[in-house]
Amino acid sequence: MIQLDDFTIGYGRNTLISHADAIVGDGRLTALVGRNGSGKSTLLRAIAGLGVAYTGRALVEGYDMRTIPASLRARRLAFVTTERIRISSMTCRAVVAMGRAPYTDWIGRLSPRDNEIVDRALSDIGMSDYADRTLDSMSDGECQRIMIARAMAQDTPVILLDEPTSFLDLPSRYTLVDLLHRLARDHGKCIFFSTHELDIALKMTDDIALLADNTLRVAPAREMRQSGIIFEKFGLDKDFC
Amino acid sequence: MKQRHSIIFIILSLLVILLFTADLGAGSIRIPLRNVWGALTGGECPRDQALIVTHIRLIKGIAALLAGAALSVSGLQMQTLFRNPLAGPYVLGISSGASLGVALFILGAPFMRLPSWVMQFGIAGAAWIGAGAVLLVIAVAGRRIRDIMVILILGMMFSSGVSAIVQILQYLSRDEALKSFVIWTMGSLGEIRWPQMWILLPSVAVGLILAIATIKPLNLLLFGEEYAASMGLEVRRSRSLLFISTTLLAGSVTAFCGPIGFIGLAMPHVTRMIVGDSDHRILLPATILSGAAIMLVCDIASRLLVLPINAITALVGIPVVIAVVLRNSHR
Repeated sequence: MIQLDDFTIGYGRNTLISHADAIVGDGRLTALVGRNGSGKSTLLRAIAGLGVAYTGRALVEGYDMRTIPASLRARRLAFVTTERIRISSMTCRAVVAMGRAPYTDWIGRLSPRDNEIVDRALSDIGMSDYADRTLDSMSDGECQRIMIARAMAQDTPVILLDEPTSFLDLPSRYTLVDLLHRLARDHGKCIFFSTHELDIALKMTDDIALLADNTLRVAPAREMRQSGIIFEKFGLDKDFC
Repeated sequence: MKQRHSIIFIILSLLVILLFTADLGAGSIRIPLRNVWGALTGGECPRDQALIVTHIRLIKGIAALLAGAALSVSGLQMQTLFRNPLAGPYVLGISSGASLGVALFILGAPFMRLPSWVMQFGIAGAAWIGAGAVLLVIAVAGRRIRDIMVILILGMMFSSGVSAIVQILQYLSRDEALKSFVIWTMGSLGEIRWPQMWILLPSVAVGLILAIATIKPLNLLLFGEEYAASMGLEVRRSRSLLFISTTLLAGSVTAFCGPIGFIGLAMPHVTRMIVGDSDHRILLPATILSGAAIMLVCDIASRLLVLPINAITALVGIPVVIAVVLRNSHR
């Protein structure tokens, strides 16, 4: 669970989110939507404790990610950024196995259980056939899925993803969000991802976190659709989807 | 470890042993391998040849091993930390710092009338202090700066600034002092004697142990600092460890052998091509071996051709750097 209390964040004088109180729940897939520059990535980085300054509280599983050691943080929260990772001559399996880093010894040796988890993450995301391929020979979308499998192998109660659908073609977007949904529901994980795909967010997620006018509102997707507020903030027609 | 990797390690190890032995035999006086073996084990060998082997060539051979391994590992660390294929051991200004130390010492020494053995230690000591001072500045700045690219740019600017001061010192210095400084910048494995070796060897050993301790952090840093932090890495602590390790490795070698170029930049790439893997558990030990091997080749070549070691390492290293740049541009 992610809990924000009186949470305020911004750059210099430019406030992005002001005094937000919100809960992103367990066992649910929550989409973070908002216009460009509304602060979606900044919010995700702040929650992950990646050196973004804010006031108020942002708790993950009851802990402030800025104050606990990195190794404990990595067991509670996994993060998939928008950065394109292309490591030459590193197999997909090795990349996903890095997700086990918080659990392995000083040199990163995998136990049989670690190997099982890595295999499962690869098969869950439908990339088992790519296990021995290297990232530099794959498309952006395929690399993105491997990075998500890596986050799944990290085996954390909370997963944050920054625009995970942006490199994917339309069918892959649906498949991915469907997979994230199943992961949240079946494993009771709290999965929070930012997206520009309003239709996917409205149709395929449990909750929507709407970031607009320096305010963060979290509500069930159906409620967001019915109230019409989301269309109003995006300047769209109510029959959009 | 895959079978392929085991074979590579065996071949590299045999290569290093072979080249080390050849290195002991090569030089203006050819010493047959049988006599080299005799000199090392206390067996049969003419006395003059035995002295050459144990007092000159053995030290030089060990210095080549250490310098090659240390510079290559340091280059690998910097390439991974900065995620930049053109980073090398001197990217943070370690060699500029060392040069400044040496330039100040050489300029100042004639006024102090020091005996020659003090001069030898003095040059190394001054270089070491210079390299360490640079590290200190970078480490202090590094704790405040989050973006690693800013540190890279600061390091390069700092390094250029220090080089400018060194140039001014060179311009102002007398002919004799200028010559000893220029000779130092050409690099040499031959200035080391046993007393110096007892400083160089432990420094490099500690640097290598630290490097091995940072194998897992290096693997995480392949993903960039943000991802590494999200997977449980204490980024700033790892950065500091890498800076200390690199200073011990590159700083000590530069102090005793002068700034030896290109090996640290080129060998991590060669090793990556040989092992075909970015995993530092394979890459780092393989780089130790390949770095040592190439330095021995350069040392043998420099002795046979009677040329400064830096000229040889550049001639060997430049084609590799060009190949890497071309290979990356085809991607």
